[in-house]
This record gives sequence, structure tokens and C-alpha cells, in this order.
Amino acid sequence: MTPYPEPWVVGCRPRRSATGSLASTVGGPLLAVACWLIVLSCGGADPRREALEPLPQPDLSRFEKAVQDQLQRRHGEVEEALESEAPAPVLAAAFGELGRHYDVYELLQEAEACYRNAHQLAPEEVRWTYHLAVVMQSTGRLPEAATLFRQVLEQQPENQPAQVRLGETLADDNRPQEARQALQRALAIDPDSALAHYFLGLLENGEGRAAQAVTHLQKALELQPQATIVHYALAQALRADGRLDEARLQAAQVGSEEVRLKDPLVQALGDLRAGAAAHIRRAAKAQVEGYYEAARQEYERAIAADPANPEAQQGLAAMLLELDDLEGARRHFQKALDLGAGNAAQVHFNLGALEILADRLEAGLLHYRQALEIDPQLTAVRFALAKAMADAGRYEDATAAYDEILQLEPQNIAARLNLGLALARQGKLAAAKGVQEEVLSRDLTDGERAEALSHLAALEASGGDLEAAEKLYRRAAAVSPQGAGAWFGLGNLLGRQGRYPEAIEAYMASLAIDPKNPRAWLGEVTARVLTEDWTSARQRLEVALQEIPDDNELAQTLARLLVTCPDPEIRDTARGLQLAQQVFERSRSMESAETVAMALAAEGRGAEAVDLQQQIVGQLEAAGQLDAAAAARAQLERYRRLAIR
Amino acid sequence: MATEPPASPLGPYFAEAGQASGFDFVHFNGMSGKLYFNEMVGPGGALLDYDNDGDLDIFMVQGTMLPADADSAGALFPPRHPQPFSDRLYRNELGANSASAPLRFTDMTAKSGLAELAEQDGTSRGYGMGVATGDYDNDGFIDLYVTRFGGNQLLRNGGDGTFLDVTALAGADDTRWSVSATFLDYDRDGWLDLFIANYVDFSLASNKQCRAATGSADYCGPLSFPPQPDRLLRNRGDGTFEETTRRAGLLEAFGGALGVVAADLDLDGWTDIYVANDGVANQMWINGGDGTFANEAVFGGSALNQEGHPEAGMGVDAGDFDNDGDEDLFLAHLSKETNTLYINNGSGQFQDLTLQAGLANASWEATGFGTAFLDFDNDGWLDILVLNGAVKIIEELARQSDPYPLHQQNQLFRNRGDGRFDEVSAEAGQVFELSEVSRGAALGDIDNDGDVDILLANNNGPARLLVNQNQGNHWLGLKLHGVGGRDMIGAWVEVVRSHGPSLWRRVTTGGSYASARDARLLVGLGSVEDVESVRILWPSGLREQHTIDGVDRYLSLGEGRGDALP
Repeated sequence: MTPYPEPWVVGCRPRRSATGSLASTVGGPLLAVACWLIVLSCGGADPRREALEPLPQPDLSRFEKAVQDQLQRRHGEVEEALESEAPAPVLAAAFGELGRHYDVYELLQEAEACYRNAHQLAPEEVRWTYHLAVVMQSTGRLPEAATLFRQVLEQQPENQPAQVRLGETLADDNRPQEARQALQRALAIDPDSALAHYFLGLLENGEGRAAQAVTHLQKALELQPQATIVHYALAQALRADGRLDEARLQAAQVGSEEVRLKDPLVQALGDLRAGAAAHIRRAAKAQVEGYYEAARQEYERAIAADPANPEAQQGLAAMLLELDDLEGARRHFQKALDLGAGNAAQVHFNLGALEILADRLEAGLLHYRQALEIDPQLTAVRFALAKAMADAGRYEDATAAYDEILQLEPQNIAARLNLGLALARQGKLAAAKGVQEEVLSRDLTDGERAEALSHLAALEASGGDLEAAEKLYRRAAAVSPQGAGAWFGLGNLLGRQGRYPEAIEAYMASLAIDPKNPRAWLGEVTARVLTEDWTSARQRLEVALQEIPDDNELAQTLARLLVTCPDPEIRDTARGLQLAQQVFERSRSMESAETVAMALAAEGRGAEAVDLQQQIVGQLEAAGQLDAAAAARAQLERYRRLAIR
Repeated sequence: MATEPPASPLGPYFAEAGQASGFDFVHFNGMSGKLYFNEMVGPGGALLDYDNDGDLDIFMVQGTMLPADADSAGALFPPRHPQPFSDRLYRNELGANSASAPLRFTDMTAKSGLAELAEQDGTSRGYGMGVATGDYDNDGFIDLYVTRFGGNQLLRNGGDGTFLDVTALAGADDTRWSVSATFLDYDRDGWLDLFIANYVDFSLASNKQCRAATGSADYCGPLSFPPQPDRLLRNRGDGTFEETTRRAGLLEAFGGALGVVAADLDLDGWTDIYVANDGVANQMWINGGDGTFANEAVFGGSALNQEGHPEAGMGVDAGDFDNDGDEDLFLAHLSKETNTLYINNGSGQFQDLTLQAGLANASWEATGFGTAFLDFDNDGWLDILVLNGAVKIIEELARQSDPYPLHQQNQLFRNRGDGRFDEVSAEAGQVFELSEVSRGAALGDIDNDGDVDILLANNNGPARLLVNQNQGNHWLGLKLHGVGGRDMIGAWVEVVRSHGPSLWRRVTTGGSYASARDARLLVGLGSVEDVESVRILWPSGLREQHTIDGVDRYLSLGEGRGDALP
């Protein structure tokens, strides 16, 4: 099972706290409580009971059934405790538990009433006071929240979450001196409280003491380096302190990870949630955080709670796709559609991508078209459709699809560039050139301009105007010096003209920007081989394989160089054979088999080379690749001669 | 600098000009129970003098059915205006009449050609969101740019009371979902360019089923859909615009934008652009003066709130609320966030001092949209208006079977002059006691009596005109114009006083939310008539001084007619 981190919770006020509480969206101070059950069960015997607030009876009709049942069960427990005149601590616990359940479903006024009763009945039970304080804090009743947190701290002076929340509450209430004292007390309880340092940093910065703010914020980051949100406040404090370069460095690291505080009481609320919506919520959170297995399990629980929930089906399908279970993903996407998923276009889009991933092009295209029937504006689907057709060599269809995108979005540069490519692939060079020239007349980023220039250069080269092509590539490289594509294209162009030293230079410029391009490595090495610079060819191939260790073509090229190189200093047939065999194991391709045969022959194992080469010839003939078979046969004859010698 | 908070005037500060005035616009949002994301986002409105008769007229943006060709019988709230659904134009009949005459408006929707445009466009027309105003062709008549869920429209003012759709001809089309837009002269060439704030990639077909904590259906939030990039269109000066978004560097960062304001935040003489994004970091595009912009929001302290949290940016305005000679920023946000006040240190670097200004807790329960700095009591200190209306179903209201459970009350905050604000909504007038789903706010002196009035655009409800009841302080009205009579959007004006600090105001029609305001400046002066002069940094870079003789009136100041300043 994918490890899923224990949730941490702190602070109820998203504006001034490090994280939001579970209570976040209920607005408005007044609530109409539909039904009243006046609590008079204990007569005048216990004054704590007389002051109780009415038991809330919220309208639960908008909740799903599982939640209604859960809340009604808890509600019944309170009623029972009231009717049976249960002892105050028992009644307090029943009210408190009901409050927690209301709290988690954001029925904050009902939660408040229950917590108040629990607090009234059992003031010694700190947890109810604490929950009540948190509700006050989250609903902006800051002075009352502060009073309640102080009550908690009177009973539990070492309660660190209460101390930090008190500091936060006072800061939010614009009482900086008291807030500072509270937060310093929090640090006395736990000097390593990142959140207390963080709040102190914010306080100091708000009051113009930038240097002190920097100290606290740096400490918070030291304690919780993952809390990337702190970089923002630290950048502001450093800037205010005149340390502009450091401020810019911090600004560049700003993220959204909160400063965390362990707050067990609030954290435990989340576990109370029931129903499909709760599972979907948990699943979505896990999904966003990249815990796909945990998300899958939550979606499955949501489906168990509500099998007709299309969101859960769709979510599960997405997770199965992430987990490489294509069939499972297809099944659940289809179920989502059958159940009337609200975003059917998106589901079809996903299904289309899934089918194409599984090499079922026509099925994929069908889903893309269904998505577009539902929502013709979905240009992402149109783009995927066009690309799938282009990848399948259906350039005419791809051209039409790119045209449609451009009718909807004339500014879509990527579609325009791809349209040019599709036209070029059909041999419509003039039209392709027109498209690229049109692109160049538009408002482009440097990268887009360089790409368009490179495309145009490739078209010129195809048309035989190598001089124009070279100029365009060089312009592209000048427009976007960090774009590797133009240098690569230039390398190819120069290599094609036999201008190997210049080609090598261009390839190297491309590789300096993008060292993961195997074609550029091969181009450079080929140019070196053609200039008979065996030493540097081998060196560069070794470097290339360090960059891209699993690239079969690079490994095979090195193997062939090692077994065929005329320079004995470079030649290393044993290593060449070893490399060739590794590649063959990985790829099982005809080409790699030929390299092995070549290496065997070079190692003096002529009979084995002949055996292998004979098999290759047979395979090629059987596959109808007669030209390749003829070449292989010629090679076979050479091996035979070697074997006889 | 004054430290004593000015005495609070007696309310009510505003009274509504009722439907008897002839201003009877009711917004139609087309909602049919499917909770389409776009139906609760608009509308905005504009105060503009479209007929150049010296008073402010009203333009209101209208919704449609969703989809546009659906039968309006399916709407949960029937439309109040005849179909086709059209934006509406109301002519102010004040003209040369006395400011004390009752306000009267005439519906010019048909005569202006707007109704005909709606008829021609039919269902291809987008769903109205907001409006920006500016004289893009420098012919002396103010034009309209209407943002839509669907195709935006550039409506050229023909100068004869009619508008012509020149969107395609001018190259100002945008089919993405745009909400706010603003005209600005970012390259100082004397022609108004256009910035369009685009929201998210949502379509009716991609509407998602989002849920509240109860598990019941609710509106989705902005993060449910991918954001759309904003756009910058450069005015070529020949009636057409060219796309410069990429070249200007504005594609380097974007979020779901709802609000935009153009102002020279770093005081270098070049207009910058601040974009309020919904739920993600805001952008502060600092104009490099060479056609490019750099996003300095994170370093400059205006991307996130003090704690580093992104907020749900809706409306935004810039103004010198502390009278220190630079423009500060105020943003309206979601409930459970504060609205946020960013204070400028004079070089385009900001600090979130919302708490210290006393503005944090007051907005905790409300979701703000339209917002503006305005000196409603003419005491020389800019106050703050916030229009509210939720975006998620308010459960208490839903449980009471409220048919549109998003409504909230609007708020007014009075500047004490010491960096703090007091909420004065309770004294602001009965209209502030209403609970509605308010969105756009436009400011202007609708009755030309020297105080600022408010046009309030409600979603799925009547628009309201809040007429200022005049607090008795002195004021100075300035209409700045260039060659051909065009408004000088972007001009930065210093009102020099003998007994107090200078007051700084910028000529703009933008800011707020999806709305456009009076291009005239209205400067409250408090109780003392002590204006010595007005210094103007014109959009061209020219600095001039005009001597002022007498206040409590509107003056017309032309570029090149004052004393040149170094």
C-alpha cells in the first residue's frame, strides 16, 4: 500500500493561519433552528443543565443518506442521554460528540451549540472548550476565541496547539503585543515550533521590525524546510530589510506547502466523515498529492457507498490509468458515461487517449469525435485528434483537424506550426512554407519564433535551397539561443553538405542545451567518424552513453565502432561484443543481431558469426525484406571467408 | 500629514434613485438549476458620457439563457426585459439641467443599435460579463469593450448616439471567457491599448458536478478548470489592434483572472498592469518601457497575502488612500479570506497591512466582488466600497429554501486618515441593508453635484444607482482632455493644497470588477478651500502645472495648455 502521510492540521482561519480548518464555508450569523427540544429534564437540580442551549435540529435533507444516518444516530444518543437524565459528564460527551459531527460537516452553528452545552456540563473536559474555541476562531469571533483558548491553557498550560492558536487569534484580532507574548510562551513550551516562529515573523514584519522577522522566518524554514510558503514572508522581510538579492532568491522559492502543527483534536475530526462525498474528497486530496494507490482505494470506498456516483467511477478510472491498469480504467470510464457523468466530453477525451495509448487508433479517434460532438470548443481534444492522425501518417486528416482548431482559435501557434509540418509531410512544401511564414508574422515568443524559423529552414532544405535553409537555422539559433532544435537542424544540414567540422560545432551547441537528444549525439559522432577522428568519436559516444545509458542506438554505434575501427588504439572487440550482446538482449532487433554477428566475427569467432548471420538472412527473406537480406547475405559471405581462414 | 481622524459625517450617505428615474435594468442570468459556473459571475456596468452632453449615462451588461438558444421558459427566474437578451443603454437626461433636478433616464437600447446587434448576433452572441470604456480611436467619443463568456465585442461609438460592432475589423476578438478588461496606453503613443483579463477554460459541456460539504450540488470553484491566459492588444492607431501578449512577456504567468487595474505602481511614468486572479497568485506586470513587462508580484509583495496564501481575487482597485503620493491596492476576496489592502512603498513594492488597517475581520463572512477606492464624503481621504455576493451556496439560506442562496450585504469603509478604516455600512443608507448578489461597481458623479455616486450591478437582480447625499465638503472636478477631446486615461494628477498634503489621483475608467467608471476626476477637499494648483503628468510624459482659481466646480484641463514643469 502506498504510504499516506498522517494529516496535520492547524489554524482555523485560512487568511491568517497556516492551514484552513475543516470549517470553512458556512456564512451568516443566524440560523433558523427548525425544531426545539427544550432541555428541562433535570428540573432545577443542576444549574449547569438549566443553562443549556436547545438541542439543534438542522435540516439534513441536503446531505447524502449515509451522513444523515450518521448525524441522526448521534442526535439520538443525545436525546437518549437527556431523557434518561444521564450524569453530566455522560451528557457532555454526547453533546460533544454530536458537536464534532456537526463540525466536520460544517454545520458550525449547531456544532457551536453542542460544544457550548458540553463545555457547560463538563468544564473540566478541555477538549470541548478547545473545539468551541476553534469554532469561534474560524467564524471570526476572535475575542471569545482568545478567552476560550486561555481557559484551555489555565487547565493545560503546556497545551501547545492551544498556545499557538491563541497567538494566531490575537494576531488576527490586531493585538500584536498579546499575540507576541502568547507565541513566545508557545516557544517556551516547544522551542522547535515552526508555526510559532512563523507567526512571530509575520508579526514582526507587520510592525516594521524586518530583521527580527527574518530571524524568526529563517528559523521556521530551518525547522520545516518543506514549508515553502514561508519563503514568501521571508522574501518580504528581507526586502524590507534592504537585502534585495536575498529577497529575490527567497521569492524564487515560494510554494504552497504550509507550516504545520500537530493538532490531534482537530485532526481527528476528519476521520468522522462518512458517505461517498467524503471518500471522494479524500481521494481527490490523495490524488493531488500523488498518492494514487491511496486515491484508488478511497474511490473504491466511494463506489461501495454509492455505486451510481459517476464522479467516483471517473476518479477511479483516472487512478487506474495512473496505475497502468488500462482495462480497469476503460471499464470505469465507461461506467461513468453510463451513469451520466456531467463532464462526458472529458470522459470521452480520456477514453480516447487511453485507446490510443493501447494502439487502438480508430477507437481512440471515435472517442475524441464523441467528445467534440458534446463540446466543439474543446481545442485540446481537437489537438489530440490531429496529433493522433499525424502520428499515424494520416496527414491529410491531420491537416483538416488543425485547420478546424485554427478556425476556433486563430491565435493558436502550436496548431499552426503543426499544420505546417503536416502539409510538409504530404509534400505540399509551398503551402507548408506559406503557413510558417504566416506564423512568423504573428506575435510570438522567442521559442515559437525559433521553431517556426527552423520549420521553414527544413522546408527550404527539402526544396534544395541549402543556403536559405542555413540562414534560417542561424536566425533561429540567434532568436532563441537556448533552443536546441535550431542547432540540431543546422548540424544535420551542414553534415549533409559534408561540412563536418561546422556540423560538429552545431551538434555540440545543440547538445550543450539538450544533452538528452540521441539523434544529435549520433549526428556528431557520424561527422567525427567521417573525418576519421576515431578518438574523439569514441570519447563522445562514451559521454553520450553516460547521458542516456539506455539508448540502444548509441550503444550499438559504440559497439560497431569498437569492433570495426581501423585504429587499433580505439578497437576493443571484447567490449564491443559485450555491448552488442547487451543491446540485443534489450531490443531483440535484427539490427542488433547483426551487430552481435559483426562483433563475433571481429573477435575471431567466425563460425558463430556465420551461424547468427545465416539466421538473420533467413528472417529477412521470410519477412520479404529482400534488399536487406541481400546485404546481410554479402556480409555472411565475408564471415564465411573469415571462418575458413 | 494629518493625523487626527476627520469627523464622521452623518448618514445616510446614499439613497437609491428608484425605478421612477427610468433606470430599470434587471440582470438575467439564465440559471436553470444546472449550476453553470458562469451564471453567477457577472455582470458589470459602466458610467460613461456616451453622447458628450456633459452627464454620465449608463451601460449595463446582460446575460442570456444557457445555452443561448434554450427556451427562456426554462429559466428559474424569468427575464424582465424583452428578448433578444441585449446589453442596455440608458441616457441621462440631466444635460444642462440643475444638479438638483431629479434624475431621469431614457432607455436607448434600441436607438443606439444595441438591440439590433443582439438580434443580428442571435445565439452566436456570448453571455455578457463586463465592460471597459475608452476612446480607442481618438475621435472624442467614448467606445465600449464588452467582455463575454463567448465572443467579446468592441463597440465603436459613432458619435451619433449609435454603436457599431467593429470587433473583427479591429482585431479585438477573444472567444475565451473574459470578465474584466481595461484600456491603457502602455506604450505612451497616444492610443489606448487594451488588456483583457481572461478567466478559465469552461464550457457548458464541460460543466462539472461540484459538491458542498453536505454532499449536495454546488457551484464549482475556479481551480476545477484550467486558467486562460490574459491578452494585451496594442492599438496601431489606425482603428486596429495587434496582439502583443507574447512579445510583452505576459504569457509567462497567468491564473484565472477576474479583475484588472492599470496604474503606474512604481512611479516610473509607464503604466503597469495588476491582475487579480481567483485562487492563485496575482500578477503585477511592471512596464519596462520597451514593450515588455515583468511580473514583480512575488518579489513586490502583492502576489499573495501576508502569510503567503493565494486568495480568490475578484475586484481590484488602485488608489492613494494614505495620501503619500503612490497608488495602493485593494482586492476583494472570498469569504473566509479577508479583503486585502496592499500598501505601496513608493517604488512598486507592497506590504499587506489589512489587519493593521482594520479591514480583516469585517470581510470574513462576505465574498467581495466590485470594489473601489472612493472619497464618498469628500474629506480628501479615499474610502473603500465592497460589493458582496457568495459564489458557493450558503447552506443556511438553502435550508430556508431560498431560491438563489448567494446573497449578502454590501459594505462601505470610511478612511479615518490614520491608516485605518471604520465600517460605516450601517450609516450608509437603506440600500446597504439589502442582501443581494452584487458584482460590478462603477463610480461617477451621475448628478454632477460634486460627490461620487455608485452604479451597482447585481447578478440575477435589479441594478441600483446609489446617489450620494452630499456630505458638504469642498471638491474639485477635473476633466482632462487631449487633442480631439479624448479622455486622458493614465494621467497622474497632484492637487497641491496650501494647508495639507497634496492629493494624488489617476485618470482611469478601469478597476473595480467588470465595470467602467467616470473618466473625470472628482477630488474631495475637506472643509478648506485651499487648492493652489494642479500638477499633471500626462500619459505622453509631459509635466504641466495649472493654477486653480476656485473650487466646488468642474474644470476642463487640456494637455499643453498649462505651465510646463521639468
